[in-house]
Amino acid sequence: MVKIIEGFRSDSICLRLSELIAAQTPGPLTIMEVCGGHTAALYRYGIQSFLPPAIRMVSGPGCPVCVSDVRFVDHVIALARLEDVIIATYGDLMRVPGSSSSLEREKAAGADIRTVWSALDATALAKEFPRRRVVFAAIGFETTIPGTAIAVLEAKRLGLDNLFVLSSHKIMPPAMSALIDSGAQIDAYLCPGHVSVVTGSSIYEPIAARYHKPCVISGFEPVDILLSILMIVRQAAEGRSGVEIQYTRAVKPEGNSRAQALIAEVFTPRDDHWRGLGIISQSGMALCDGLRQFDAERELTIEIEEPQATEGCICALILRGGKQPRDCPLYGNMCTPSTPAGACMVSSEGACASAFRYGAL
Amino acid sequence: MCLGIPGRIISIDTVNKTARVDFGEVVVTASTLATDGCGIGDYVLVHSGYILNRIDIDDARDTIRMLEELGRKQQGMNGEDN
Repeated sequence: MVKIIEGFRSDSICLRLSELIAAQTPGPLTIMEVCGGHTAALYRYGIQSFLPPAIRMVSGPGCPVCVSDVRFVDHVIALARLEDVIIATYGDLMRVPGSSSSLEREKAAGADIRTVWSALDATALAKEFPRRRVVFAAIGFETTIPGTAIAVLEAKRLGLDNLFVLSSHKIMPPAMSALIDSGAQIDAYLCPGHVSVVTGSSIYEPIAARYHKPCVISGFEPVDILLSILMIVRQAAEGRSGVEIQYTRAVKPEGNSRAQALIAEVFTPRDDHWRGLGIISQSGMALCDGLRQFDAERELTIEIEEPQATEGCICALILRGGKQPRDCPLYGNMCTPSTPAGACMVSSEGACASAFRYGAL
Repeated sequence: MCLGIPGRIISIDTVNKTARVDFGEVVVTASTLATDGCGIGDYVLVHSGYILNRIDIDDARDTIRMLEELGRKQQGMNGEDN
């Protein structure tokens, strides 16, 4: 596998793809990546330096931590302050600023907040501490939703009545459509690789057909990304707008049917808040009525503070592809990975954190 | 979050529905509940503690071979031009 990965990082192949892209680019093209993994890879490998000036890469709402609305963070914080509650969450969420605090600060103040590697760890916590209420703060797209579904079904199987899920799970296609509907200047989408492992490729068909935007599902190595961009360039040059899979070693057109069935069994779509994009119809995932006993929103009602925006922070514009991290007045001084003011500086997949780590100030 | 990682299955626990997955420098235990049909020796994507699917190694090799061939052809054409 290491040898194969080396092939996908080959200098000579990258340079050859760079030449082909430059030779075939028909004119200015703005390509949005909507996966935090791609954002990080673009900066890490300096992909823009392989591209002609006519191609502009912009980051979209693909980092799950970044798009989780401040209301959700405030909600988790409010629950963390309850005496008998254990919050279980992925580590990325710990330092995301809420309106007046963060989970990291609450933990330092004594709240019982535990980072987990898997949603099933939350179920295990509920089993281990039957007298405590365990709230799993669930974030992520189609890749992480099946894991939460399994954790809930496992809790049901075990007869646990102390596991609750606060869902900020979101699905990608409604946001991709909403961005174009709102007038964002995007000519093509570099589509998320691991979301597509679960969903398959058909979820992008309406976007390609309705908006006439080429969509290419990409892997995460530099050769993957450059080859995907070449596939987009070729579609644009030929006046086509279809859905193509570059990441064929992992993504099948039909996706992972078991994971899809798990999502359908446990979750149901609902309107949801996205940081920077507002409310997007049918873009979030709530627990279905039959599993409401695990739904923290319905079962653990609590007062949440009024959401406050961080002054000067332009995460909302960055998540729409309208601004670059360096356009932000806070970037690199008031907002750094060690002291993030905005969500995009927290996760390693955030556009600001990636720019800070791999780009020049 | 979305950084699914490829590793190789070295053992499977059919009772607990987990697999030990070798990433070279580290071996982790991941749940097999989110996917069908993985076996020992398969390369898989692991995401947030779950195996999401198998990686098609033959497909990966074919992609690299095709791209290397493309580079060689171009070098040949450049040589003729000169």
